[in-house]
Amino acid sequence: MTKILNPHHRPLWVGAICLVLLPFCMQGIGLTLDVATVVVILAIAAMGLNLLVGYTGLVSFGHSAWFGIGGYAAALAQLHWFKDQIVLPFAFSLLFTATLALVVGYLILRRRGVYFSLLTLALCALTFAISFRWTSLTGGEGGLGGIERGSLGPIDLNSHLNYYILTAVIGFAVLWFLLRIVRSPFGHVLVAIRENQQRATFQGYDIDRYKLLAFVLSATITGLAGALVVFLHRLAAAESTTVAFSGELLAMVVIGGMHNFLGPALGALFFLLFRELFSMYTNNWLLYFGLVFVGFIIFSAQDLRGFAAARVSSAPTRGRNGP
Amino acid sequence: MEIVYLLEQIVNGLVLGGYYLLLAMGLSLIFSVGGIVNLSHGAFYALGAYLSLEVIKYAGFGASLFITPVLVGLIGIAFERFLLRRFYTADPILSLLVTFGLAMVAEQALRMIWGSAPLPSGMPPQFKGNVMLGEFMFSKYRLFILAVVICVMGGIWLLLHKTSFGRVVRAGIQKPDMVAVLGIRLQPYMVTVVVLGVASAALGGVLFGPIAIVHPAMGTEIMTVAFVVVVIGGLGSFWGVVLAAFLVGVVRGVTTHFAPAASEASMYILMFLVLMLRPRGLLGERIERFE
Repeated sequence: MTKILNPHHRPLWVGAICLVLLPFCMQGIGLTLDVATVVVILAIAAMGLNLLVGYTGLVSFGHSAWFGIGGYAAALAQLHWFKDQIVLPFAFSLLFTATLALVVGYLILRRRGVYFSLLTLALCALTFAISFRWTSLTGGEGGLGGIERGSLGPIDLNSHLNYYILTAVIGFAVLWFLLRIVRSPFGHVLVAIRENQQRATFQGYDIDRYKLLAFVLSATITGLAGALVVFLHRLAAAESTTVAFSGELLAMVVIGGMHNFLGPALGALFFLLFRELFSMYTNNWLLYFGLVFVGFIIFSAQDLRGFAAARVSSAPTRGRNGP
Repeated sequence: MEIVYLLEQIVNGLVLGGYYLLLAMGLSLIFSVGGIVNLSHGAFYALGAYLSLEVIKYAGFGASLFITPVLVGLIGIAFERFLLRRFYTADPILSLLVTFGLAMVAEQALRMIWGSAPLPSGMPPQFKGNVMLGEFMFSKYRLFILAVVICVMGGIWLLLHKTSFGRVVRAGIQKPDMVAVLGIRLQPYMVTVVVLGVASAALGGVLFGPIAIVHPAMGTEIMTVAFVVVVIGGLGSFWGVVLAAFLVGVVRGVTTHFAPAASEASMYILMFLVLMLRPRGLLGERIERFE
């Protein structure tokens, strides 16, 4: 027992306790079990994004593209090839997202900093344009309905609780996997790239390959979350590929804390509680969420600026006084 | 006849390009001088369109053309003073996040004040109808827009290239440190650049209110297009942005004709193609701090 409760594994057991307690807390404050499922799904997506934003220092403004692509891939696979199955569509979705991320990442990782962010923004807008307009493939505005959760062996996934358990197990697996990643030599190279790409290059690391792998992993994990949400709502909708959703994912990461391993998960919980509780009283919850987000960045910019300042100051050629 | 139709589409594309240009020029200037990626630029455009609806009620379209950009420009001063100023020396990513949040707030605020439903905006009566040029038929209003855009851009070009103000701004884009060493503070210049940028975005809103639909999400929709234009054109280049805006406009105009469903996707594909061949955009220069 003491071995499991070792502080080294703290994110794991904190995560496990939260996953167990979450449904009870949600129902305690009058929300449904499905809300708890959505929290876990968004937490997976936000943690996947954070591998890129917090650990590698590449701010992607287009992760909803991967969320949507993962979802559509799973939905299309089930509708066309694997009727009523759930495992194979998931497998296809993971493979498809990873392959696509490999190609796209190879192209857009040529640019850094702001250019990278703008390229991911355009990628997201492109994905939305396709999923909204290519009606014959994606169902356009109405989305792709008729998705079945099916069952996993004897377990019927149509029950809310069973689907939550499945999501929680996958969420825990992602948590474990990401913890292994960020604590591996690979993860430390990513942090080195974030802090100073030039120095990491001088150490002899092939940074392009490291960044590409981080990009693919991050996109695939977010895509997995997208597939989970498709099976939850039994619908793949174009809304999940909007730029606005990309921004919301980033907001979760920033508000939760991008330099904390569990931060993005906390951000996802905060986002959803904010949405559910405020939308009971007002239709304009996004206004208040936006204000919180803006205020957060302005008043705690010091924390965020920590890594930003380190990146600027350590590269003397890029130093500037600004206007 | 097919050729005539195509030419008409190209002219419509040029008008569309002018519309993108009004937004993209300000965006590019704010980006190049201040290092700020202003994701809330579209919000000023939407605000311009909405305010214009109100101003037209009392003062008419002609007056709105001048009053609305001034009003939005005033808001721009506050925006620069209380928000942007904190982020000049920070990582550009932070300003990206904060202006994204602001765009979210602005869109919701528009929704709260004017409602989510699209609002009708009448075409000013003096511009109704078409002009025949030989065999070609063009909408009077679209030609008027094109003329206004050309005047505004001419003004900005003169300001940037023929005045001492413009010299400092252009120097500030390339070598802010050197400008500081020469004892020139860029901050007052930045206020002017921001005001110019948001006022021209608002002018875009006024001009395009009558032919586009006025709705709260209009700013977000145009935002990504404007960024595509800036990225294709390249930072720090006046003519790059102009060229890119008209290029994107024409490509969209022509694809709308041949394959309507692909008209949005076409410009992103154009952007990826350009970036593959010229990573800094068509006429972009190397600016160290954005690499």
